[in-house]
Amino acid sequence: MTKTGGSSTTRGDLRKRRGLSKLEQGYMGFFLILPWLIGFCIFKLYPFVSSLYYSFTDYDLFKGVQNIVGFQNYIDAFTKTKNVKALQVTFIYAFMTVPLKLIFALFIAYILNFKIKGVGLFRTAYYVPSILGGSVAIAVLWKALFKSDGVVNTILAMLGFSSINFLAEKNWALFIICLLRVWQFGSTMVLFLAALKGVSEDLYEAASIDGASKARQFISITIPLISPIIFYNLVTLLVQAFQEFNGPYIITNGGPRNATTLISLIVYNTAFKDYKVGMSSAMAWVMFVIVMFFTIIAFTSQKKWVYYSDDDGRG
Amino acid sequence: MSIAMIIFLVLSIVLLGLGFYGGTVDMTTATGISASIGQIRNFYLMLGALILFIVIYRFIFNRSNLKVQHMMSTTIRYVILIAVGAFMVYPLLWMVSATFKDNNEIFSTLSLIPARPTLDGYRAAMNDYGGDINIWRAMGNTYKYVIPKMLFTVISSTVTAYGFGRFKFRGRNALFALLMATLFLPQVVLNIPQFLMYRNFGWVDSPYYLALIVPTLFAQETYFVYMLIQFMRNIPRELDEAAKIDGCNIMQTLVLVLVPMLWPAMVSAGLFQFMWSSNDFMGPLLYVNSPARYPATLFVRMSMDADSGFAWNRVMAVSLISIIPSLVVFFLAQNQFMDGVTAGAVKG
Amino acid sequence: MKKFIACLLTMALALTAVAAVAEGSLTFSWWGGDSRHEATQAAVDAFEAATGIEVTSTYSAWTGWEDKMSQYFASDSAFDVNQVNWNWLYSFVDAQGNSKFYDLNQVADIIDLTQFNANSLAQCTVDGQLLAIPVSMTGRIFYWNKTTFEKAGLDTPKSLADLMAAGPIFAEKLGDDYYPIALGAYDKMILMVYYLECVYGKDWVVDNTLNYTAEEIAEGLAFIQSLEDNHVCPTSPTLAGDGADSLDKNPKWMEGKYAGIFEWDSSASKFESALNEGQEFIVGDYFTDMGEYQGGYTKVSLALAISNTAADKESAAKLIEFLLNSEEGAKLMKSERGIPLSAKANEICLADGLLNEKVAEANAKVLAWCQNALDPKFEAAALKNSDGVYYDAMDGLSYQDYSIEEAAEILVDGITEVLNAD
Repeated sequence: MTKTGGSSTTRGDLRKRRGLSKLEQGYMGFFLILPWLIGFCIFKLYPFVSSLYYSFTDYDLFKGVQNIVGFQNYIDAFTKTKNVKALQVTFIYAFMTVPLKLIFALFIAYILNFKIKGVGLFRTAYYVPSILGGSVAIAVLWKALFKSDGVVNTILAMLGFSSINFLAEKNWALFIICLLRVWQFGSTMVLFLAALKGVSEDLYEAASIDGASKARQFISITIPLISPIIFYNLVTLLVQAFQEFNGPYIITNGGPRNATTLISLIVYNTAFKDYKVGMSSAMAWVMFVIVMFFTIIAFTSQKKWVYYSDDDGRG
Repeated sequence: MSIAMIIFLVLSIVLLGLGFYGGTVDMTTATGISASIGQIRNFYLMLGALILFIVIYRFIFNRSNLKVQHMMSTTIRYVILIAVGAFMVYPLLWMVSATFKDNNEIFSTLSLIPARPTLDGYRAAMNDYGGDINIWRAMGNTYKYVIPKMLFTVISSTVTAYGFGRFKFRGRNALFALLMATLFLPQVVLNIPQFLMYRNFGWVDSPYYLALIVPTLFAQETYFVYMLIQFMRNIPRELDEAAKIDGCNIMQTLVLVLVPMLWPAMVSAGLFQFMWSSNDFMGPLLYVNSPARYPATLFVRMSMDADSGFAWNRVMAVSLISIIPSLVVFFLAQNQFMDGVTAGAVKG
Repeated sequence: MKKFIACLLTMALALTAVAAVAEGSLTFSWWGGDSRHEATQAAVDAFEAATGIEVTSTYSAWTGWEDKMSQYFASDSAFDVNQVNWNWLYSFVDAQGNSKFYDLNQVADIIDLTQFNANSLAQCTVDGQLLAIPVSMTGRIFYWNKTTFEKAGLDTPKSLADLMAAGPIFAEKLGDDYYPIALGAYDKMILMVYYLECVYGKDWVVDNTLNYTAEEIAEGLAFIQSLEDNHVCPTSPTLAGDGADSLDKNPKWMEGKYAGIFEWDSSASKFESALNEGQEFIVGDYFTDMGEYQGGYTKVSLALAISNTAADKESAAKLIEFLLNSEEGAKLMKSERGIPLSAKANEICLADGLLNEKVAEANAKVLAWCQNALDPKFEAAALKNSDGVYYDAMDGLSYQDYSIEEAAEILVDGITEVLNAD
């Protein structure tokens, strides 16, 4: 982000040299982004701040704010079994889904990057689930696949396994929701594929001559060169994972035994089923802080492992 | 034979041994992924066999000539790709075939070809449910807000991207940082207060879907702004300068010079917004109350509960119909999708 | 900028206002299944024809409906006339303690209250205000799939002993996935209360205090546990794995693998019509061997209420009167909302043989048997929702997360907390 800002300063200097009035620039640019700024204040900033305020109150959907309760909601968020469980489950979910999806997408992109006939066909087939994956229809389909006499269990039976009660066993239930997201690895993969194609063949050839194995080449050349994309995918997937709602809402309704009650679901339930808007806002804020924490870790750590070449045309 | 291969060989023997003689060690619990995998023995057997296969394969083909090795690795790649492809596509094909099966057949066979093809599922899917709503109306409702959202997002995002991408003004950097920060702001934090705010505006259950549409007028879908800024960076500035010299004002420059260049990106943004909004469930769940205004997503959810009994073929048919427009749009414009995905990030 | 926002908001509000319903017309909402929708719509059409008052109906299935309705009421944008669940009368209250429902005593000249017995009206009266008119009374009763029991070579259970004996016989003769009765977590809770009331003969909650000790509740939970242990009812994991939202959507109910339910008399027809062809569905009897007393409770199953925000309360009252007390309305509504409580409607339906026989039979049995009263907070959202206390205790027990004592403690704590909340 800072980099972007830096490069545009240079651009500004350039413009000055070409004799454009700085005043006119300033006025017009601000005018153009004004709608966004207004929208930001109304639709993002105000809700954001008021959510923080609500989280310190006993806001009830019917009764409104009656008392300021201080940190009580936050204490509840970390002490009430239901809430703690939701935090745990969300963590497990995020740290199961994100790496699985990243690795799977990278693996497939890596294979597709060899000279494969019908790349387009495979790419399309892999991409379709990403397009549809968020829809209710697919969540319904998932339920049909994984119910106790569903398709997956029929396949397992054919292979000689005994059937698994996916929807009812706590760990499995979370896993199938995770699987639904991993199934949508398409757009992550398309990104990796584009990045892999950008890695120059010469580098591999040089490495081969030096006697580096395929695996060695992958670790020493490919990974560093596509690290900006790995980073981008990591951050977007992480933010997405912490917001998962449709899957648990439709497939398991948070069950069994709250094993799939992710934070976004408990936020919804607390506000609209229990009418406790204050408590719900506190949970949302806890989640926000967690997401921020990981995003910041990702951003600060990127200096260590993300490799930006100087001439990749940034800015 | 390398050390790695020996390790693998030992591992496969251990696994096979576990498979044959017990399998009481519950490894899966230890990994935390699963409390029980039906017959864990079978799992070990298959895993062991797989690793053994890899070891033998490496052992044989390491020594043969390069051509055979190349052929084998290509074959393996195709096998993996096809297997993964099946994993991706089978559920969708199964869904299509389920809509033509009768309810007794759906879960009794894995075959994709219905033994007794029937249109009952589709016939039942056409039923009206509560509040004069049926699948067609629900789809109509969906596009009543998806299309405005799409148009408004593209227009407002382009203007905002133009402001950020091409102009310098006081506070630009700070505002840009703010814009980027909202990219990572989880919607969940905003949902409840937004709901309360829209409620005060009287936008909840508005017949014009105001709560869903209005924010897009203000370029609030940050991702698209960001994506368009990235695209704009690749358009030479000289074009703007030339237009200015030709006497274009700022808006004319945008419309006449930049938009034609940005068009592919704008199309991508529109397509993505189309898909995302059609799939959106949380938004309508919060802001649409009357069944007569339900979009397809809520309708599919409702159809699971609407009448007595439960006909999977009907539910599957309703689900399938609801995603057909998205599928059609995707197949017509898949290149724009692929380009759009990469555009936002590659230069990130 | 402020002006701009103000302008924008005004425009938006104006847009919504245009959409608001014109005066002299009503909005009416309810939930239910297809047959209820059809019957009610027909009655509404008849009302329009008779009075010239235009009615806009909104109706849907139950899933998610309660969330929606609470949003409507919380935002004062509710429909004029609403089918309400009994506990809403107690929970839809604003900060000042004012109900979101209109006091129907004010329109007693339009709605003929004498058709309803005083006891049922009292159940809908909060702080001296009559917030809703009860449509029917209901209670839980057993229903059996006679065909399945016959396949197992059994008669339908007449006593707890019969039921307990049926479990192992089902497993042995029909297969492990056959059970004589299926109970969701909330069903189990109600069955447990029924059992305890049979044993101890006292109401569940008296004077806003839980009337049973943890030890007594543990006894009830042990009873529930014994049902699962004896293969009488499927465990929670088994039910969850069926992938159905409710029992009537469960293929195993439809196929007859689950051969019994403990359900509201008013919802019997839903379960009956879900059954596949060729299965006989019958109303069961209460078990006399559960305890010395006749446990079980009746409650107002549904009520019709006018929201405080309704513009034309007289017309709204006319609609309620028409639906519940008029000859035409009664004939069209039949027993779609249970056996009508209105004396007049009941008489008309009986005379014309319009009542669903099963519903009428079950309702008669329920009213004759059940002696206990129900506390309105029994159905509080924090208790009966799928993430509430009842589910936690019952599923926790079934998943073996909790011992019987722990589950009992969770029930006692959770219920006490809800009872003590303001």
